[in-house]
Amino acid sequence: MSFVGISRRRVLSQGAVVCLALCAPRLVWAQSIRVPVDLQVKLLGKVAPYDRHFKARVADRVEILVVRRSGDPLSKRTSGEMVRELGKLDDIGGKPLRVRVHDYEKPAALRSVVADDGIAILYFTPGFHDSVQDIASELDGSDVLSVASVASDVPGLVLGFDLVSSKPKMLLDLQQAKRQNIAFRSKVLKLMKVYR
Amino acid sequence: MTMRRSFQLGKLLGFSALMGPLTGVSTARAEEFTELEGLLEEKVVTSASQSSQTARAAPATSITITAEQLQRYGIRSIDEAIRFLAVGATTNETLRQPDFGSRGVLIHSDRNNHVLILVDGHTTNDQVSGAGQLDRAIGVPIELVDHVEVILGPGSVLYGSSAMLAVINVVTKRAEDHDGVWVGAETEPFSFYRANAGLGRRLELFGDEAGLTLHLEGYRSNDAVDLPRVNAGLDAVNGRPILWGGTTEHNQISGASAYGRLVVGRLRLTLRSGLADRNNPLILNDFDNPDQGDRDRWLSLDASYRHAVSSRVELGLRLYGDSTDEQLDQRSSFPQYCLPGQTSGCDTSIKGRAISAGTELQARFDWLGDGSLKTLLGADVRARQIGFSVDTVDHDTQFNPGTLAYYDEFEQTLGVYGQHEVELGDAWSVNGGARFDTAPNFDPAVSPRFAVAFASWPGATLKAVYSRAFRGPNASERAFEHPLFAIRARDLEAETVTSVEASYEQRFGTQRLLLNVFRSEWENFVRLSPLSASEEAAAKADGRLLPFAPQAFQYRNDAEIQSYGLVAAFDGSLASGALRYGASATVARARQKTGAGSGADSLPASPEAFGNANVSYAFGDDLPTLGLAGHYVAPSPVFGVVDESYPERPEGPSRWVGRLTLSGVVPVIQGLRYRAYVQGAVGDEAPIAVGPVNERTVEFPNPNLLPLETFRSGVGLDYNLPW
Repeated sequence: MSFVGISRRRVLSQGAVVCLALCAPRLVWAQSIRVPVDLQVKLLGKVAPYDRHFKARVADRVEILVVRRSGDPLSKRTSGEMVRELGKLDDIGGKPLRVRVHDYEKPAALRSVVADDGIAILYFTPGFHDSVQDIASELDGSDVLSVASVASDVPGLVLGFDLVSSKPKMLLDLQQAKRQNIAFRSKVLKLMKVYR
Repeated sequence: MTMRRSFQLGKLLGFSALMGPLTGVSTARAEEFTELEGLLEEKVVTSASQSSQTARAAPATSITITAEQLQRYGIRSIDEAIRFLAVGATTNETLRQPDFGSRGVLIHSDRNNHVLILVDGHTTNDQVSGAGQLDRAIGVPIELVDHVEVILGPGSVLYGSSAMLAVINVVTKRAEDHDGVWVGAETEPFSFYRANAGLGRRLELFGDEAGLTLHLEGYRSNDAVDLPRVNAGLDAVNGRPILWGGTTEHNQISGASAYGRLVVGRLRLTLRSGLADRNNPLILNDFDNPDQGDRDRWLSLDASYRHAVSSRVELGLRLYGDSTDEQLDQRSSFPQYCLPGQTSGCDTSIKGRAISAGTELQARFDWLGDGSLKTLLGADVRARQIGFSVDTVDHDTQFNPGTLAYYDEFEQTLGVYGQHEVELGDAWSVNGGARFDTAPNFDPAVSPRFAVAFASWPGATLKAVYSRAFRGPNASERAFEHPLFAIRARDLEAETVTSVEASYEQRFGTQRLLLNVFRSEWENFVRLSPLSASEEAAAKADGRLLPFAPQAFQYRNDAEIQSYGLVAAFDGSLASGALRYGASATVARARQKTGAGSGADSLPASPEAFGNANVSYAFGDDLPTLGLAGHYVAPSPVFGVVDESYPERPEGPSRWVGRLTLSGVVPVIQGLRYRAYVQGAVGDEAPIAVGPVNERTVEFPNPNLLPLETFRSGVGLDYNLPW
C-alpha cells in the first residue's frame, strides 16, 4: 500500500499555525471558571448563612459586591453572569440581597468600600490571581466573606469553588477566614476542602 | 437569690416559648443543609454543548461516571464503567472489543462506529473503519480518568459523523488532581497482569501556572476458553475434515499506551500513543492459531487555545492530528476458504492506515454579557490520507496473486456548526443548533438539534430534545471486496438517525430520580447484505466473484431501525456521602427492517432490557470502602446464525453479574492504596455464535454460543509518592 504524502505547502502552512499558537509572546494569565456561575451562586446562597457571624454582619439585607478587573474581558463577562444569577436568589439566610459591581483598582479602595457600605460578601470574578495575596492582606481584620469564582484564588480568598470529578467542591482558607471574622459551622466544614 | 431564681425562671419560660419555633427552625435548617449537600452532588458536564453546565441544564440526557465510582466498584475499563454504572447504555461482553449499545440498539458487527468516543474532546474512532475502543485499547489508564460523560442520543450537531448512539467523553484528571508520582500493578492471577506509572505536577512555566501529566500503562491477558469440538465436514478442495474447537491456548491480548498533557494558561497540548495486539483464537478458519488476530497502533496530538477578545466574544483554536495503523490477520489451513491454487492454505491480511490533520475554529458570543443569550459558531476542517487493502497469500510460498481490495485516497472534510442558547426567565432554557458536514464520498449531511428544559418546580427539570445525527460510510465499507465473499459497494450514502425524547428529573436533596422516554428512527443503515441470485450470477460472470464462491455480500444502505422505550434511574447518597447507591433500568423495543417487503426483526445480540444497581459504603479514613455493583442483560437473538434454519429464532440466555469490591488505604504505608474484587455471574454465554457451523443440523440442533466467565477475582495496588 502506498501513501501519497501531504504536500509540503500544506505541512508548512499548518506548521506555521501551530508555531503561532505555541510561540506567541507570553500568554496572558488566564483563569477559567470550572463550576458554572449559576451553581456557584446557589451554593453561595446556601452556605453563607452557616457562618456564625452572618446574622450580625447583615442588618436588613445582604450587601454583595461583585468585584471585577477593569480591562479583563473574562472578568467583565463573568460579572454580568454573577449579577444575573444573584438576581435570581430571593434571599440569603432569610435576608434580601442587594448586588453591586465594583471595578477593582487597589486593595485599599476595596477595603474602604467594604467598610463604608457594610458589604457582607465580596464575590470576585476571574482575573485576580496576581492580586489575591494583596487583597487578602488588606482584608485582614475586616468583617466580610470573600468568595473566589476560580479555585486557584483559594487560599487567599476565604471561600472558593472547584470541580472535582465533575462535582463541585467548596474550598476554604481557614486562616484567612479567621482574619475576616468568618466562622463556618463544623458540619459545613466537613463538606469543604479546608486549607489550614 | 431571688433575682437568680427569677432569671432561671425567665430562661425556662423563654426556652418553652422558643421550643415550638425552634423545632421548625431546626427542620428548616436540616432541609437547607440537605439542599446544600444536594447541590454538591450536581454533576457538571461539558460535552453536550461544549460548555460547562449542570447535567440537568444540558441539551441532552447526560450521564456522568465519576472517578470515585470507578474506585468504589473496582472498575477496570471504560466498557465496565458503562455496563455497571451508566444509565440507558450498556456494553456487551465478548472476548474482544466490547460493543456499545444505547436504548435498545446495539450493533454487534459495527466495531463501535455508531458511537463517538472522545478522550478529552479528541475523537478516538479510527479513520479507516470508524472503530472505537472502549476496553483498555482506548489508551487511558483507569487511574487517570477523572470522569466519563455519556451523552445519550444523536450528537452530530457539534461532533459530526458517528455520534449516532451517543457521545462518550473520557475526561482525564488535571495535574493537581493527579499530583505526585504514581505506580500501580493489578492482576487476576494466572490470566491478567497490568502495570502503570505516571506523574502529575503543577509548575510555573513562562511566568504562567502550568500542569504536566504523564502516564504509561502496559497489560497482558490470556484466558483459556473451552469450546465444543466441531467437525464441519470435509474441505471441498483437499477432502480433509474441517475441525474446530477445544481449549484455547492463544487467547492473548496485550497492549501499551502513553499519555502526556501540558497545560499552560489557556493553552493545552495532549499527546496520546498506544498499541493493542489481540490474538483471536475464534476466527472461523483456524481455531486457536497464534498468528491470527488484530493489531492497532495509534498516535494522536491535540493542541487547543482559547482567547477572550472582549467581554462578549471568545475565540478558540484547536489543531489536531492522528495516525492510525491497523491490521487483521486470518490463517486458514483449509483451501476451500482460499483462492484457487492455494492448496496448502492461505494467510489473509486486511490492513488499514490513516494519517489526518485538522483545524477547528470556534467563536463564542455572549450577546448580553450575562450568559443568558449565547451563540457558538464553529468550523472543523480535516484532511486525511486513508489506505485500505485486502490480500490473501499462499500459506507456504507467501505468493500474492494480487491485492483483492485497494483504497488509497486523500480526502478533505468540512463541518460548520452553530448553536444558540437562550435562558428565558428563571425556569426556561432553550438550545438550538445545526451542523453541516460535507465530504467527497457522500451527500452533505445536516444535523440539527433542538432542546428545551423547564425547571418546573424546586428540584425538578422537564426536558424535551429533538436531534438528528449521521455517519458517513467509512473506507472499509466503501472499499471492501473479496472474490470469495463480497463485491465492492457502490454509491453508499450516510446513515442518519432522528430521535425525540422527553425526560423528567427530580432531585430531593441528595436523591435523584430520572425518567426518560425516547423514540429513534434510523435510515440508510449500512449492512453487509446478501446478493440476490441474479446479482451473484452477474458478479461471477464479470469476475468480481470466483465461480465457486459460496455466498456473496455487499455493503448497502438497505435497512431501517426503529426503537422506542423507557429509561428509569435513581441514585443518591446518605451519611454525608459515605453511603452511595444507584439503580437504572432500560426497556426498549428495537426493530430492523431490511428491504421493502421484509418484516421487522429485533436486532441480534442487542438487549431490549438491561439495567444495573450499585451500593457502597465508606467506613472512614483508614477503614475500607465496600462496594457492590451488578448488571443485568435480558436474552436477545443470537448473532451470526442463519435464523431460517431454526424452528424458532435462537436466543442467548440472560446474564446477571455481581461484583464485590473492597478498597482503601494500606495502614502505616502512606500513599499506598489497595483494591480487591470478586465477581460472579449467572448466565455463561453471550448471544453470539462461534465456530464454522452457523445453521441448524441434526448434529448441532442449537448454535454454539460464545462462552463467558462466571467467576473472576483480582487485586490491585497503587502507590502515590509526593513530588
